[in-house]
Amino acid sequence: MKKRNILALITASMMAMTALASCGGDSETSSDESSKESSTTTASNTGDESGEESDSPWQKFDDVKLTYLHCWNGTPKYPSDQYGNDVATAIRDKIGVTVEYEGINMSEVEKLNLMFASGDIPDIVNAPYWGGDGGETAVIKKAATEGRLAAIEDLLPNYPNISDCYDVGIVSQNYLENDLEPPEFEGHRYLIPQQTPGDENGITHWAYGIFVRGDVPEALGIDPQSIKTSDDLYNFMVAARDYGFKDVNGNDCIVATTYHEGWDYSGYQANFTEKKYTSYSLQDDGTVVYDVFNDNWMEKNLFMWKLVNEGLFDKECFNCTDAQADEKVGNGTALMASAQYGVIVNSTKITGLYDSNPEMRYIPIGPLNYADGSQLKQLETMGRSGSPVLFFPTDCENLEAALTYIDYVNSEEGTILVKYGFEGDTFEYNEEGQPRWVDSILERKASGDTSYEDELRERGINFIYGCFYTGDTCYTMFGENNPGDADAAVQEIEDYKLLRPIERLEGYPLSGLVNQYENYETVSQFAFQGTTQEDYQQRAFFAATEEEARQILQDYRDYLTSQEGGIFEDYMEFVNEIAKSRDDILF
Amino acid sequence: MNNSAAVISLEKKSKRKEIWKRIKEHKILYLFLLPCIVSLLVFSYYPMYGATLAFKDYKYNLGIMGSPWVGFKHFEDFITSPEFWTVTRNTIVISGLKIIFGFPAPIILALLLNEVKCTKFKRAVQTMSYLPNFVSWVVVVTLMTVVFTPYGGIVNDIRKSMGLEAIFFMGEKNYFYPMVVLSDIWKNAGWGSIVYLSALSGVSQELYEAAIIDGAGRLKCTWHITLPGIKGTIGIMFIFAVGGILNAGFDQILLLQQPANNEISEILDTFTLKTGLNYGRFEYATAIGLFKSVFALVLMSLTNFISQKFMEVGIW
Repeated sequence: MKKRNILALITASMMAMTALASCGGDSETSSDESSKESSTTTASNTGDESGEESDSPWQKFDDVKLTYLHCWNGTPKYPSDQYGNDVATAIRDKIGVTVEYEGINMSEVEKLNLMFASGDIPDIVNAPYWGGDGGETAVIKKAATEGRLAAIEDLLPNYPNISDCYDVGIVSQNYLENDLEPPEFEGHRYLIPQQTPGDENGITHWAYGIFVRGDVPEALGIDPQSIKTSDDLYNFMVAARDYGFKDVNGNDCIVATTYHEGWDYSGYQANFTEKKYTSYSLQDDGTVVYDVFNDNWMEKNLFMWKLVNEGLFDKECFNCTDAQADEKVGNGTALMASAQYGVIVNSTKITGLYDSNPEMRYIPIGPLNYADGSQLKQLETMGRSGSPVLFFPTDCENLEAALTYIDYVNSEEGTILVKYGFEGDTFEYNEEGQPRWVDSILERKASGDTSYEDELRERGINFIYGCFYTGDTCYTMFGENNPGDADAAVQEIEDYKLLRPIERLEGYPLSGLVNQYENYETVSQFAFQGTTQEDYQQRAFFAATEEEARQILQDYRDYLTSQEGGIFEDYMEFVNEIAKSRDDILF
Repeated sequence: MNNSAAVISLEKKSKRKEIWKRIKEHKILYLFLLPCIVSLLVFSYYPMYGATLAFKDYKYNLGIMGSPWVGFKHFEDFITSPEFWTVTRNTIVISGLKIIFGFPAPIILALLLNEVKCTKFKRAVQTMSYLPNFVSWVVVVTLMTVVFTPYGGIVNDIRKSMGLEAIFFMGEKNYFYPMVVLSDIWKNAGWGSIVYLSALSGVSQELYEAAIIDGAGRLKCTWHITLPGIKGTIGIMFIFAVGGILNAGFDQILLLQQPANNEISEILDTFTLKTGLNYGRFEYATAIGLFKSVFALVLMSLTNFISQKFMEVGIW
């Protein structure tokens, strides 16, 4: 009996201990924190004191390890040995800092919220910051004003390769005033705008457009580049649907699709859009109108309704993932897709579509013209108006080490190391003194063999730069934006870029002034934040009749004008007033 | 008067002593309760202080306790938001449909299984019906997408081979409720039937034997013996189901949402995610959560009261 009691006592105690074990996180965290603290102290002390006698412009730290979070949904590939790979070792030898990378597979906003609420923030974070008052921007601004982020305005000037990251031209005036240095930051700088151009050559050409399987226009006898209007596009899609094309597996095809959650269905609507930058239009009578109240908005959404309703558009694409889209494009199931050309080419690489069915090579349609018949462009302001940003928590293990690392990566020496690797091994200098990957790598790139990317990444080559560069001048320095571009770029993508060139717009975007409206937060909450507009639009696409679709779109207009006692009308009066306040307003 | 009070007091004291005595006697057995009590305190009661967030303006740096109080601001925001009635209606409709069609499903399954005489077949069916419970909604919805897709899905291929038009089952508004209810039944009916099967095993076999001697058939036995025998279990499960009426199934609904059905598929939980959590408005999300809890408590109490009155079954 006694034995049984003891056994029962032990069992019950073990169960209680198991239940309590989950509460043990605190002690573990505190031990982690204490070790982090001691490491910080050591690192900063040795780092500050080491000051080795060398010509290196960078301070050398004593083996500081930092964590980096790539807060973008979809974890990129990183080297399996983040500490010991060749590039990490070379950087550590130079500045004594090693960065360990990790990504996320969840919503960026959700991750940011979790981090800021818990206070558990990696030493360096890279996150989307598109400007305005919603999404990630709102969360990061809140974190900055509520003491979660480290101010870097006093440190930035010490790092010459990134100190110009706030210059207008690299970032736009509007972005600078409203998002990077908004009034609520009270003069502090918390963010490093990233993936920004250092000059005109540094602007990324995204190569957005609609791309069609090459055998389709050939079979239909239509020149895809002759498709310039929405009518042309519609007729082409109908002909493609009725022809009865099959995919590589002999299954029926989808006429037109997109990538994740409908990205980028607006490509099919391009012919309804005006050549402008903001969501506001200047009418002939001089009044400013919000796009939703334009006829164009109604028409372009009814066009989408027509495509969906007539079986010309992939009904599943508004709720699909990139992996599903890859499958549709990679197997030639989607005759057309609207996205960045590079993304489409990548989908075909996954399945080897071009090897098995070279006739199915995706080629550009049009591009469609703007509503006024002019050539479609990639519009850019003078400097980026929204970008990825880098930021650091107030308890960053070693802020100076983090900034030194970023500064080094942005230097010419660092850029060559992280992008091209090692001279004589992975790259050589050409006659102009520009680094070029060695032929063996270029040949593999040109042949479409992507395995070289994995091999280089394992050595730490060509993945770091994208996470840290700011004020990019690679083209000016090296004659190519990315390694291999000059010798082995995907030619069809380069050709397409010429069909839809970049145009830089001067002026101050009206969207950067409207937040001066006294009740802007109220208007913003119901009109600009969240997915309400998109929900209405997409619901209209699936309406049973055109009349119903028109009514749903009208309901959204009514929703805007009826909220908060009809405040939107007052807001638009303010927008009209503020639009007259400057001569350089950009619509 | 004084005497009777003293008697009552004495009785109470002796009762308490008796309880303590019994606890001491079975102290080891009571010790087994400890893990449950600890986990309840740690995971259910300790986090409750976080509910105060619903009345605060949350600041990252000040934390839950340090953030300033704002009273019922977030409740007002929620109740006066244009989506309030839509999401509340959608939540209740979806939950209501699940109760109407989904609640009887495990009972029926349990009754059917109870009638199966071949043990091997019964066990095979039981195992098959329990399995979907262990499959996450992500997998279930992905499977549904593959089966029902208009682009090569088996259901639409069959329709096409019969000369019928392909239907986008997952995306059309009219098919949303059937999809929700049927997938819910497929996933949960088997697992839910375990409770009823165990209740059924407690029904005395003598009652069936007596009924059969009296000439009752299977249906009559089910109606007059089995169902009354598990009435208590059904009642308690029903009270819980009604209490959870504002939990329409977050992950299932979120995954089944499509542009065409978002007017009827936006429920409280998905709304909380989209307007609260996605914007870092934890206080707003907490206010909606608290609103749900209070509403559920009221509803559960009401159902419990009605159930006690008419079915003599209650959870307290």
